[in-house]
Amino acid sequence: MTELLTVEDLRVALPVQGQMRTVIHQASFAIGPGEALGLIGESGSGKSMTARAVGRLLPAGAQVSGQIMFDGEPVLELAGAALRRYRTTDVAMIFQDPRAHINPVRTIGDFLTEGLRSTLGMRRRDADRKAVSLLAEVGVEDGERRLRQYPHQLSGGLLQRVMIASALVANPRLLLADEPTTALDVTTQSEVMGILDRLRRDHGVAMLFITHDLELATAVCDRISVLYAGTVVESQDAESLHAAPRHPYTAALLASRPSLTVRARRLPVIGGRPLAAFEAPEGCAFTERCRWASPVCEEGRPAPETHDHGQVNCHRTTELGILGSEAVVTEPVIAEPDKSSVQSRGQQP
Amino acid sequence: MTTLTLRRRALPRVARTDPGLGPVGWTAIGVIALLALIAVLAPWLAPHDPNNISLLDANLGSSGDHLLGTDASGRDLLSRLLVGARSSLIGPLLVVVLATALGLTVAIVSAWLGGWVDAVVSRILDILFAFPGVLLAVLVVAVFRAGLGAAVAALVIAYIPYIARTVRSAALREKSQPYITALTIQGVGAPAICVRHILANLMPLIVAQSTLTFGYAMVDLAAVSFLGLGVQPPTADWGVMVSTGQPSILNGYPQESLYASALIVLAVGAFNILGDRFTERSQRSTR
Repeated sequence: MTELLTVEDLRVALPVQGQMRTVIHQASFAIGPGEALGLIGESGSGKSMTARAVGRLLPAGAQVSGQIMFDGEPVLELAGAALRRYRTTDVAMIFQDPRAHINPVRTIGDFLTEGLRSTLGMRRRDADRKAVSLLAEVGVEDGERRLRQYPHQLSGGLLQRVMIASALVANPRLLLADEPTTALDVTTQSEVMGILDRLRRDHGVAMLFITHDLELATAVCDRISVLYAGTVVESQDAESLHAAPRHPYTAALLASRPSLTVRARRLPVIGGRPLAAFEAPEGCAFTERCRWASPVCEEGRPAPETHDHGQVNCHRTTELGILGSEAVVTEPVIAEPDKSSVQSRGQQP
Repeated sequence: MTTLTLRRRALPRVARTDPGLGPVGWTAIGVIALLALIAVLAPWLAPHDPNNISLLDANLGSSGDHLLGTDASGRDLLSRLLVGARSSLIGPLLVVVLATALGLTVAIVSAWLGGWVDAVVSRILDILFAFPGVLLAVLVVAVFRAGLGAAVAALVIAYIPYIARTVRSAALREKSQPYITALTIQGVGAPAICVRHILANLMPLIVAQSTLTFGYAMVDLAAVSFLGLGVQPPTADWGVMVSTGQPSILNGYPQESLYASALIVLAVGAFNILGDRFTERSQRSTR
């Protein structure tokens, strides 16, 4: 299968207080036409930056190496009109917080049709008609009226549906969804996610879905890549990743989820803290939190090992194979409130 | 056992988030509107020819014929004040419009491009800051000829950095807003983003800033005219009148300088109050 988007050895460094800091160390993945790839990781693991790199939205001064190919085109080398065309017609992005990502002083109609009119030169009436029909598709019935409204007149869930409509309005081939439902409340979340999933399939749009919700990713994605400290540590078909994780980090993540069926007094947690890409050691970044860590793990970054359902970056994967819930290293430490310290704090002036 | 009945108090009415301009603000608008009206209608309102010299009628007090008296050359002061409103208001208006247009263009382009362009522009603005408006006026008059045009040109140059600095920092803040990223990925071009989005969001600030600038420009232009570098006598202008009325003050006839100064103070005060109100509102809306 020819892939729509391939990201190979992507490495991104951003200037932080005059120093270059690596935020993505080595990210490689591929998305086929119409396929949905979930990108899972903790906060700061580089998920959003990966999506931004694909949309060429990294902040000024970012150093990028590696390769991003979109339908045979090197994305990182696009410039000028070609870059604008790529952004308008090839990729679209759905952001986490719709309220911040829509200009508050322009109407919904302006927001939905701006790209169509300014870049594709579509006439206002045609663009409006297209916007209204898309709004109907995302479940916004009175589109004509909505087009004339301002963002502050719409609820968060409604605004996120407008955002989804805006992403699909120019018929893109790839959708970058950066935690599209995190800012919404739970009932709206499932509704919006349902719309996004259905529309994506209807229009045959590929999707890079960024989330830290493993269940959600499993439900809507064909494949999932797990990002840790700016490195893709494991990529698998969604179902098999869920059932048969091979990277200790993935296994540990799966083991520390709450479950609907199993009663647990305390949830297990992975000991230690997540590393940012720039603090990661020479060897495997997960070494110090890994149950199966051995001296070999400190010898350089593990190379991807391909198996039937995907690939995994672990030095010991051949001996370990499929991992279970024993991956969680540390028992949870939830401290009981220390009464003496509370009292003494109260006495302080 | 006593039963406590909690009487439900009427909820306090939620304060309006936007108190509007308030009575003082509206008064300022009224004053400005009145002055503008006077400037437009001056030739029809003026009871006498403002430049008609009659040395026999010099330094008269208020009378039925000359409501505000006459100046040292016997010209009717009321007529001169009315007609003087024209150059006294047109001058600052030109300064504000030109300085704002140029200043915000420079500011937004510089903020958008960033990098070395921004650095160079910012340094040039810093250098311009070092020149007081009056000094620039002397310079421009030395190159061209004294007159309203030269004074306006000088003040435009002097005011650009003030406008540009304020707008640039606001534009930088606006540029970092997430919605700009969303527009970029929609493929909207830089000029469209700058004009339709950044500029639109900066309008409250720009309106407030230019209203305040109008007051400053008026004082500065009057000062330049007072020094004889701006509007030239015998053209009626409030700044010029403050200057030409000077000798009469020593002779015990302060009316010319007094009335002209009072009008300048009134106009500048009105513009400053209105500018302050606009500033407060723009700050509230960005919060």
